[in-house]
Amino acid sequence: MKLFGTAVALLLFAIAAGPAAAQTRSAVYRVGLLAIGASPTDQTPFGAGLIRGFARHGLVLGQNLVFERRAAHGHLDRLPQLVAELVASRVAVIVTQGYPAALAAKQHSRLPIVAVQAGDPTEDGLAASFAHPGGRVTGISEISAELSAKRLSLLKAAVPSVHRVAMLWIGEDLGMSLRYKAAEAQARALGIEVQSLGVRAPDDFDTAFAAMMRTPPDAILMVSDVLTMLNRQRVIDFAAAHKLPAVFEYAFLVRDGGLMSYGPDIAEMFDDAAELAWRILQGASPADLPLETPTRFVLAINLETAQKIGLTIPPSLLARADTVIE
Amino acid sequence: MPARPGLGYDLTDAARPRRRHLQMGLAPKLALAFVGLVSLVLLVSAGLSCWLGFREAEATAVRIQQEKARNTARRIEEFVSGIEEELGWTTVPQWDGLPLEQRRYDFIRLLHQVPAISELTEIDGSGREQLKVSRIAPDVVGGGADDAARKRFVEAEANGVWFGPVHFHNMSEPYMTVAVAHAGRHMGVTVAEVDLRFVWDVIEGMRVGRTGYAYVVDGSGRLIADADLSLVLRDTDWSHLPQVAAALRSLRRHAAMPGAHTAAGPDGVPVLTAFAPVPPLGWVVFVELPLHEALAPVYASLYRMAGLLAVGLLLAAGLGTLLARRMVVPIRRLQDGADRLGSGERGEPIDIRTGDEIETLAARFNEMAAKVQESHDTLEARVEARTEALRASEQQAREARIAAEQALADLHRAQDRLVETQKLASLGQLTAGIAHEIKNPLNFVNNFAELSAELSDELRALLAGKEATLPAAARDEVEELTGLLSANLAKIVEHGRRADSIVKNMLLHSRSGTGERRPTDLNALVEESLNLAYHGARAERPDFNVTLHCDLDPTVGEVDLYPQEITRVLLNLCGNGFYAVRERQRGAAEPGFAPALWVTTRKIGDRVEIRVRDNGTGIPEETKAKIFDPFFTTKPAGEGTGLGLSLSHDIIVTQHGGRFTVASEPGAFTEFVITLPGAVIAVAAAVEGGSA
Repeated sequence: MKLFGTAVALLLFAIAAGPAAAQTRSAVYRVGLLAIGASPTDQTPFGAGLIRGFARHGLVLGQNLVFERRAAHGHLDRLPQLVAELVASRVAVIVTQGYPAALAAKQHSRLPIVAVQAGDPTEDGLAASFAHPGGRVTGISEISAELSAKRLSLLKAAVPSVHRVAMLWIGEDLGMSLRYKAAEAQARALGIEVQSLGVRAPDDFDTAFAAMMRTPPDAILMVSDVLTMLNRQRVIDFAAAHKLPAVFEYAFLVRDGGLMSYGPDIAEMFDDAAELAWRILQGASPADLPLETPTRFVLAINLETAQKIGLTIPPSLLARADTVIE
Repeated sequence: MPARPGLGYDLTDAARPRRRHLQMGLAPKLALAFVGLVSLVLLVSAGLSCWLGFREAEATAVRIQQEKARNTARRIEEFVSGIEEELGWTTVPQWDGLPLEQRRYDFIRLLHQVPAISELTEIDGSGREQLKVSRIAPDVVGGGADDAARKRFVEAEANGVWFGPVHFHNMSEPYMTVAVAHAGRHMGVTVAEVDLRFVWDVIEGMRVGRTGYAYVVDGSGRLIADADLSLVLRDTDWSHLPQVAAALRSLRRHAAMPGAHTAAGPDGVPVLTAFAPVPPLGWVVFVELPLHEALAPVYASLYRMAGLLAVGLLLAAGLGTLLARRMVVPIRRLQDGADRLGSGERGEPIDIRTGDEIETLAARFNEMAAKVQESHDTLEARVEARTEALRASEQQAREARIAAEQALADLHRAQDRLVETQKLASLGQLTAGIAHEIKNPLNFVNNFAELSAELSDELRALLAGKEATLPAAARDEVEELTGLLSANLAKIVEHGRRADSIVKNMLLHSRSGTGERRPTDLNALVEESLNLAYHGARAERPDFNVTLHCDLDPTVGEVDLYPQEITRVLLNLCGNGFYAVRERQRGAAEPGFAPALWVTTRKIGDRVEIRVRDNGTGIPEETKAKIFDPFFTTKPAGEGTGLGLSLSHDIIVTQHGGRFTVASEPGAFTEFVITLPGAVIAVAAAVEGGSA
């Protein structure tokens, strides 16, 4: 009789606990996406990379995964407001693109943050160290400063005669300033002079282009900050118009018409970021999630663009290229 | 006797031979024994099989894990040796002869082919860096940095290949230097920086059960590879884990490989752990499987065992109960039969057909019961006979006792009568003596008083003849004196006669056996005495009136008695009755009161009864006891002697052997009852004889 009672109790418990367990499993995860530039869609590397990464853990957008997307569209002053909106929409973690976004999220919320494309977080102060970020921010470091130097050397390899390189970067972005400094330091070793063209507002671009017109550079190094990204076509067009070789950070810019690029795969980085975000959603503290660095870097070369500007890419460089667009 | 329910129940309860309350019946005992035996066997077999199963499962799991650990170690070795091989073609003598740009191109190709290599450096025979190609840093061609003293050059030159210790970029990412010496003597070294994060691919591909995992530590216990890359990047040191410490210790001592054992995993969960070294690197691969998974088959078999055990126990319980019932039910019936016999019921024979010892026992029992019944019946008959005899003898005893009691009563009565008679006899003698002594002086007083009265008459007569001679005054005075004298004398005479009468009565009282005894018509005697008394009373007081009721039983006939004495008794009783009614009439003026006297005779068996009843004042209760005492009277002085009833009692009881009783109610009636025997009894004669 007692045994029977226990069995019944267990059965009832199972019936009661079953849906509860199912509910936990079918909980909906809310993730905030904060971009400094254009809004991340499911096709851009930001969205696509995250979707791919979350999918590995059974999270499907629209089912048990909700993206709260916020984009500043270049107006960095709007970031605090956007962060507040994300907080209000009760997301569990914010994935940011760009240093200003990570900084704004860190300053205006108490949520854990997975920072991507935020430069070198240990350098710009978002995290204490690679092994132990120690705060609310973890993410993917781009090793961008070192890579900036590498880009210059690749540019030099493509056009050995290059001497004067114009660098377009936004002064308000600490991540970009660091890249500039690293590039400038390396440039001397390569015998290159870097013409710094720091811009502050979209309108400054005209000033920057005007400056480039006055003292034309041999080549352009474009870092990917909010303004350059929003005005990338102008840069590409400008380079093409003036037959200037230009090196970019990401392969997609080469597909858009840029000459060459060297850097990690953005989608891959967001894929890795999704991994970190997942760990945070599972209760891990960002302070204990080490910063990760990309292991794969892509050299992309657009031969069409090269042809347009009358440039022959040396075979040794071409052999190195991971992606060649003809 | 008042009922006391509690006690009464207890008594009956205790008195009845009851079946003792058993602590545990035979059936549960048998069932328990059966269940106990079966469950013991089941438990032992289950325990054994569980233990064996556990050992086997553990051994299997350990074997599998050790195999996996070795496998993983081999794959890591392959990973490293793969890199070594890739570097191989940069170490051939021909390669050294190629132009620098060609060698750089080869390095770039190598980077393409082997993603784990992040940087390649060529050092010439003198220890100078000739070429450095990196994924991150700009290429350096002919840098000429001096590596001659660095281990990667020295060790590689010395041993051909050198695997550097694990070091960490940014204090986070594990890297290892692999240096391979070029063929020939002091031909240079190719150095590769290997990103050990790529070992993750090896580890990640490692599948141990469902939740098992593998990890790799270097010679100092620092985590190099783990399924969780974050742990590796976090600069995790697991040298404190007991299994890691033990493995490293045994490797340092080149001791025999310790077998797999259980330990707490990095996350504290108990695991079954196995390890295998990666010999050239000094790393150790650990493969761990949480115990709950490793032992899942054991648990499953344990549950199966438990299930079987439960089913077995249930079956055993059921069978045990059934068997016990089959055995116990006939025993119960036997017991009931015994109980019935014990409580004295004449039960039917116990019917048990089990075909075993119990049936035999029941048959024997029935035989015994029959015998007991038989002897019981015989005993009953004997007891009945004895009881009858006892009753008869008891009856006899009772009768004898009644007879004895009767005799004793008779004896007492005779004794009483004797005492009374003797008492009265002595009293009679006394009074007779006194009466004689008083009678003579009284005769003188009487005689001389009469004589003096005559003399007084003579004197008066003498004086009457001499009227003239004497002066009238003197004559009158004399006449007055003589008159007074005569009156005095008359009083003397009167009281003298009374005294004489008392003395006569006293003499009568003392005298016994006077008159002669003869058969007498009792009714006539009664009637005569009544008339005599009535007329006597009327003569004494002419105004006296009383209604007489005479009811005489003609069957009384003649009775043998002393008529003179009985007459005296009757006169006395009637006199008393008249006095009583008169007193009542006089005392309280009751309007409707009619004085009456009833005299009744009746023949009762061989006895005769005479009743004298009046409706006078009655006798007060306190007086009743004394009325038969001599000289007791209630009448005023001069009217009674107090001897009437005393004498009457004497006459009836002593002389005639009859009974003399009185019944009275004050203010209502008095009734004297005389009972005379039909014949004179011997006692009377004896008394007479005695007193003569």
